[in-house]
Amino acid sequence: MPIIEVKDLKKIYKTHKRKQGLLNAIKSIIFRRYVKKEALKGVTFKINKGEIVGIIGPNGAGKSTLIKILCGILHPTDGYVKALNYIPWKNRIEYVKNIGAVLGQKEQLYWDLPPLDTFYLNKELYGISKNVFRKRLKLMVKLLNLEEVIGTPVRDLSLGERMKCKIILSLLHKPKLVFLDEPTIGLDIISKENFREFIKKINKIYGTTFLITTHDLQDIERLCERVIIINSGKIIYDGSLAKLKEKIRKKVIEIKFEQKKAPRIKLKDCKIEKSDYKLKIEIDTKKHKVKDVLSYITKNYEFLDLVVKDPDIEEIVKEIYEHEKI
Amino acid sequence: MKKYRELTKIGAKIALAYKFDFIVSIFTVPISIIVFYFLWKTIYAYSGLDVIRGYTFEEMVNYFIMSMVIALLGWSNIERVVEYDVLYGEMVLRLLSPVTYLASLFYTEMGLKAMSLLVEATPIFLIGIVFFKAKVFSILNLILYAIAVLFSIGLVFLISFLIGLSSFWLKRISGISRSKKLFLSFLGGGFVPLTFFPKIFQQISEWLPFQYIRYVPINIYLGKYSTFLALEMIGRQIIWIILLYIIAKILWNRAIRKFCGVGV
Repeated sequence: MPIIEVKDLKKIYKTHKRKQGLLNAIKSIIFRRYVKKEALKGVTFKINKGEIVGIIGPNGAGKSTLIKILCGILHPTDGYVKALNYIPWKNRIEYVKNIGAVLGQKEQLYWDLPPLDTFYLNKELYGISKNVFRKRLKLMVKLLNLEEVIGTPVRDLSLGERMKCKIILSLLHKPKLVFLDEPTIGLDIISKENFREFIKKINKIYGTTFLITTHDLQDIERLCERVIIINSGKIIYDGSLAKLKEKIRKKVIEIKFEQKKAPRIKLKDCKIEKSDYKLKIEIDTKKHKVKDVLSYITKNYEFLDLVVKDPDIEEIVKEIYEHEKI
Repeated sequence: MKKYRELTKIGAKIALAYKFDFIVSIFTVPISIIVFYFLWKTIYAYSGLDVIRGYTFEEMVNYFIMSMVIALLGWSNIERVVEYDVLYGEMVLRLLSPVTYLASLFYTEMGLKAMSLLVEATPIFLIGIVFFKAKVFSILNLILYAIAVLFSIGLVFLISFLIGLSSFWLKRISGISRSKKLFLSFLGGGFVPLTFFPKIFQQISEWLPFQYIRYVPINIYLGKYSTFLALEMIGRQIIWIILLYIIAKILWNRAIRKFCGVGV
């Protein structure tokens, strides 16, 4: 049974447009030119219980519109959504009791109060029983090392501490489905790692389904088995990361040399990047066999070290964003 | 209803976080009382009249002090909160919460009011009694007044909320918010009783909700109405609250369909 089912979802925004300048600003009061903007052009997918799914896409691709519809905040223009057996925007108040959300860019805790006060508020808002509340809070506070933080006013906390408190806040009521919108924004490397470990643990312990939107592809790589890529309102890829890498059919060979100036290697249809002591060759496996390239290099050149790798996820995604095709 | 109690507690806690900012009014409000006290004293002395527009000097002083008490309790800037939520996309968070927006705003506001009753309104009332000849005319009227003030708070809250909702269409409403304060004081009889204005003005006021904010509760306090009429007035307050609540619900449903929560 899928936990979320989305069929042919569409959202059209109506915004008014005007040219710059004071005169045009006055004109636009009377003559409004409306422009339709299609944020989602028919999106279809299913998500199963216990999955951790990453949603990525360039700015303005329609990610946050999608998330907002799934959270029940926005009414779509057309299409069908069923999440946890609710139509999110129709029974919003009932529906949101079953979901959690972390919005990386928004302050979800009361600024002037310690996080603990907001936790207690949520305990009552969601009707969490005393025992469950205590147990979950204790566990999560311990996992994230927040014992000393939750009693301090939010305004005195660091960005990372606030983010961790926000994730606790979103999980206290045992939601079956949690949306994380740029959850690692502004975090340092260690905090990011902790955060990802924590999400994995919660997913394992409680079987919570997570939907993550992010621009940090490391989040995706560490957390998500499945990734949905959205560009200009459409899903352009839906599947596992490993398959995505396979589909790209590219390999990267990195060679280190003794001399500062790397020798010139001539290869057809390959992108070669040169830097001090180093060469990076990108091979299209449809056109060349890795084996052939390797034997060619080992035969003709002297080098210190050689590594064959998959291309970085960043590079793959950049390519997809730019070409919109896989 | 535990969740509403918790929301009220949060409001009180927020007020406590800014306790010193809060308490300042204990020092500023007596200044306006002093000004009005001596202004009325002079007017009554030089006119040679005992009763002006239906009020004795003693009643007039009490009128102003009780008006200040309502101002401190009923004051609301909820329209600015709504405006902020709309303009900066905070509405998204509000919509993720399993309580209605109106309820969450109302009960947090009630927490603030409870603190305000404790540290502002009651001290001002006591200062009025000790220094400015304020007095309790009758216990029954005091109780009826307290009930009327409660509904007055509800009225101001709903009017402010409605103004706040307009920011879904108008975006920035800081100007409207400033004029709201003045208009509610003026039309509600906050400065002087409505009997000071022309008859036609009073007749129109009968059909508007504003006189129930200050004029009516204060007159209840002063014993200007029979008990029966006082209860009727409270009944009219309730009718206005129901009416404004229905309008607020309808407008909210429209606004939320329009809302796109950009930039989250």
